[in-house]
Amino acid sequence: MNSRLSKYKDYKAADFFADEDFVLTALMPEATSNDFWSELHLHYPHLLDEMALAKTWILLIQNQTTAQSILSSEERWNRIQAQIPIYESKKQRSRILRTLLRWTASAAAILLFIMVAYDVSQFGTKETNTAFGEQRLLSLPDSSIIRLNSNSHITYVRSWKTDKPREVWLEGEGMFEVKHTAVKNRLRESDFFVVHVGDLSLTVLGTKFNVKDRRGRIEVALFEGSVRIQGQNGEDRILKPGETFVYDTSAKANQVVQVVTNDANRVLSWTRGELSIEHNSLANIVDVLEDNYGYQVVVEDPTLLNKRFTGVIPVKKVDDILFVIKHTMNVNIEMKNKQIIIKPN
Amino acid sequence: MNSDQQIWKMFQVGHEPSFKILFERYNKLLFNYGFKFTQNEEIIEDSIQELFVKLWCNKDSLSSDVAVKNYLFKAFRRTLIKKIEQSLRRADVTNSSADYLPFTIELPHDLSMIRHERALEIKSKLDQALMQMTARQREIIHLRFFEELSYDEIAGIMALSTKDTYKLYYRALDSLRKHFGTFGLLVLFYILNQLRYN
Repeated sequence: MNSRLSKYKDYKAADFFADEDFVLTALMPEATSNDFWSELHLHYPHLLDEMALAKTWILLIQNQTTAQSILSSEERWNRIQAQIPIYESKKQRSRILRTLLRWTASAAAILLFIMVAYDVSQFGTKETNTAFGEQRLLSLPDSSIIRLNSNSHITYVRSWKTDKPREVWLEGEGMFEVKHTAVKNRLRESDFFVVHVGDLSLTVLGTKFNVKDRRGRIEVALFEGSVRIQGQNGEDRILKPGETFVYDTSAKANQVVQVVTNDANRVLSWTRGELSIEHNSLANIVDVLEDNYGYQVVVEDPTLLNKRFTGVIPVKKVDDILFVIKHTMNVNIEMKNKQIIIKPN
Repeated sequence: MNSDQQIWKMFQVGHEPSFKILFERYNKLLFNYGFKFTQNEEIIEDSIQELFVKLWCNKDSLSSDVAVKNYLFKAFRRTLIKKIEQSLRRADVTNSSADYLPFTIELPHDLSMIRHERALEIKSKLDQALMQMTARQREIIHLRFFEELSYDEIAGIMALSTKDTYKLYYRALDSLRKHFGTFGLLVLFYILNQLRYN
């Protein structure tokens, strides 16, 4: 007891104010005993004033002026009662909305993921191959269109930077419809579209043309607009619509360069799944069978090769082609795996 | 039998008279507490109403074992501060956070309950000492001596740790010591003055 008393020996008012035991007695005089504090100031009379001061502080704070609202408790209660049904219905609505939102959010997240995944997969170099007998229609990032014939290959870089010309690399045959991006009178490098085929570069703006690169022979047939053809050998010419440029890469020493008038209908017959064989020899058809369908064709009598046809053959199926040949040329056709043997009857 | 705890349990099962008892017990105290942060009565009313409306509508999801007063003060303080901040932001005042909100303690004008011959002098000194404190220190003193809450409960209400609450409180005492440190000496001067003029 004495040690407890002596603890307070040098206490000031602020110390009493901070002392939990003292505060408890001050706050709850009924529940706690005042005996200890009476004994304390009997023991240490000088503490009396400090204790009285601390007690006065507590009393002052306890009796501080309370703010009174203009609203009575009754009015406040009535307002709460009025608001409860409003809040309940709002809560109901938000619960439905939240459920809806959660579903929408998950759907959106999945969609976003798919889009990002697709986008990522589109980065870098894009390559497209067509198998024998297959044709494919490609839409490029600038919304130009390429129709790729069978057994062909095209490569392009997906992210066409705005300051670089659009470039594609082609092997085989394809028909291009290039979108014209240049603003009138303001031609920039990025407005050019370059097709690399063999050792030729075809530079165009917005045009429609067919490029065929088979057996070392490149044919560029222009239908609309203009194409500038540049070769590694210094070849540089501008093609007009309706012209076809033929370039033989195999005959390097003696390059056959000719410009002939083309027949759009004939050149593009492949895009319709037909083979226009007007004035065509069997040799041309053999080329198609080998180039586009991957067959090995053996013609036993070479004189047959120069025989000419007229008409249109559907080329969606090899059987159709062979049927037409058999009946118009009166030949015998044998087919083993990927080999076709044509014999005179 | 009418402890907060029991009333709370009755309220939670949907006993409306118990809800009203809770309201009667606390609505004026909460208004008084709110008034120390802002003089905008509309905000205080809105906060009290929102608190009790939500209390009733969400009674099923509330914990059944809570210190009721503590819980109400804490929820009310949070609601009120949010509303004050919203109103400040509307008035384009930046830097609005609970720490910047004022907290006023208005000592009584009627000192008849104080049996101390220098009550008036003590009051004015206490007033000065309180004014020197920060708003949050005053809030702790208010909650401890007026609302008679423990430091743990105060810490919960003010979203502080108990340790920080103590720290703030003990720092507040420095202000008291400073203003009352020479108290005895001043009394001597006061008495001497009185003698001289009499």
